Amino acid sequence: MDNESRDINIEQGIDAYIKGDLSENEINELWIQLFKRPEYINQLETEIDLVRLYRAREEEYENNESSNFREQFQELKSGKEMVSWKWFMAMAAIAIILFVSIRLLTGNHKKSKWKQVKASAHVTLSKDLASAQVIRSAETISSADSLLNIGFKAALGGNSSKAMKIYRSMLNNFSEPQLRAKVHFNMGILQYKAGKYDDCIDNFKKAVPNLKHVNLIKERAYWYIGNAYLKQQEPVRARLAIYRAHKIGKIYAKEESILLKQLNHQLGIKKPDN
Amino acid sequence: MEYSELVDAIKQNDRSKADKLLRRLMPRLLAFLRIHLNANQQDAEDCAQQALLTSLEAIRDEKIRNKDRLFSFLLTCCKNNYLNMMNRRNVHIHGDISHNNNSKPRQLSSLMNKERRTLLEHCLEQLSRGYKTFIDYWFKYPDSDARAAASHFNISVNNAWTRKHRVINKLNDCYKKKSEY
Repeated sequence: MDNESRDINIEQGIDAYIKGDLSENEINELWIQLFKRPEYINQLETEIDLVRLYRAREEEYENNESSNFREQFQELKSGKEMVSWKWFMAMAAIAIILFVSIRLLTGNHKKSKWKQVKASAHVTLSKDLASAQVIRSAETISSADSLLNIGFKAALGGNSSKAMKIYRSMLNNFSEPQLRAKVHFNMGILQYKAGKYDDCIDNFKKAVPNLKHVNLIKERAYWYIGNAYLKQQEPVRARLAIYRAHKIGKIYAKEESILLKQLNHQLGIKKPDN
Repeated sequence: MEYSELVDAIKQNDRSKADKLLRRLMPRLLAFLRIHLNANQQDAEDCAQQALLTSLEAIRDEKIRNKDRLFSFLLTCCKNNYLNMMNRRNVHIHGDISHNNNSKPRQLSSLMNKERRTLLEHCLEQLSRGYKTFIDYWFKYPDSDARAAASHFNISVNNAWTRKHRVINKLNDCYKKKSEY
């Protein structure tokens, strides 16, 4: 297929179809176009295979990493890497003496930053909460957007319980996936702020699958999941979430990079993420 | 396919010509059933065959009057045939196809055949470094879009689509050649 015979609408349609962005009517329309231009069916199949290949690679990479952690932890646990228990104790005693002596000599009493990686997320409600999209040309606002804004206003005014009530009622009354994702995300933010880490992780996880094209919110969701896991002292899970946030890397790239380095160090991961 | 040719053949009762013309549509229907509904080859063939027969009747009864309508009719028939087939077998299809908004190709959810994966990996290796980097970016960040790719590679959005199109064509050609061996 040369450039002249290309149909950019079909190409963009294929891309949107693969990402799940088309309604059933749009899918029918795309397939009618594909029936007229069957050479594009091959393109669609190749793209589907590419998505599956990249997904499979990513899953393998993550599985390998998880099994690497497990192996490293197992090795440490079973003591394979230690020459003997006595030797280990002797070496540890020397290390402690040296460490204490150096600290006394240098007067450096600061806590080691590698000891336990700490969460570094700070909620700023006005920045973090998702609100309704503002479209200048729109003359009216939908009831869902209006509720989202009322929830936003309540949360900002310090009335989190009212905001949560509004968000819960929205979940009961609206089925649009992206809107529900925003509601779950906002609930997660309020719960993170209130220190309810289990609940906030649950809500962020519900939000993520439907935030396909809302990368900024999606990155925030992963970022807060990671930080919530850190609060719960679950570094392996925290690392995976921060890694996912870092792959989007539009808001907290620097902070994510620092946390990843610290977590890699804490978990003994030699191969850093790019 | 010339729609008028098909209608003429049906009206003149030239069954073999009508069959021949409709059969040309068979691979497209099979692709729809496999990709959109994740049907296996045997089920897809049965459903597509049935859809073609139904459409033949509909053209004869003048219920279908143009090519677009024929394609739309065939899509609906294929979908209904497949859903009925699954219902008869008591197989639950994840997500209601008829009312499901934002549905992706269902083939995405199935595992990739090992042979296809090897072929595709080989074909990716054959790409020039520039193309490989580009397609890596596009598919490693599936939530990203053409604008993001354009800005990442410092090219226009149109160029991003063109580049993607070229890479997919190259992969297609390579795939085809390798599959023939």
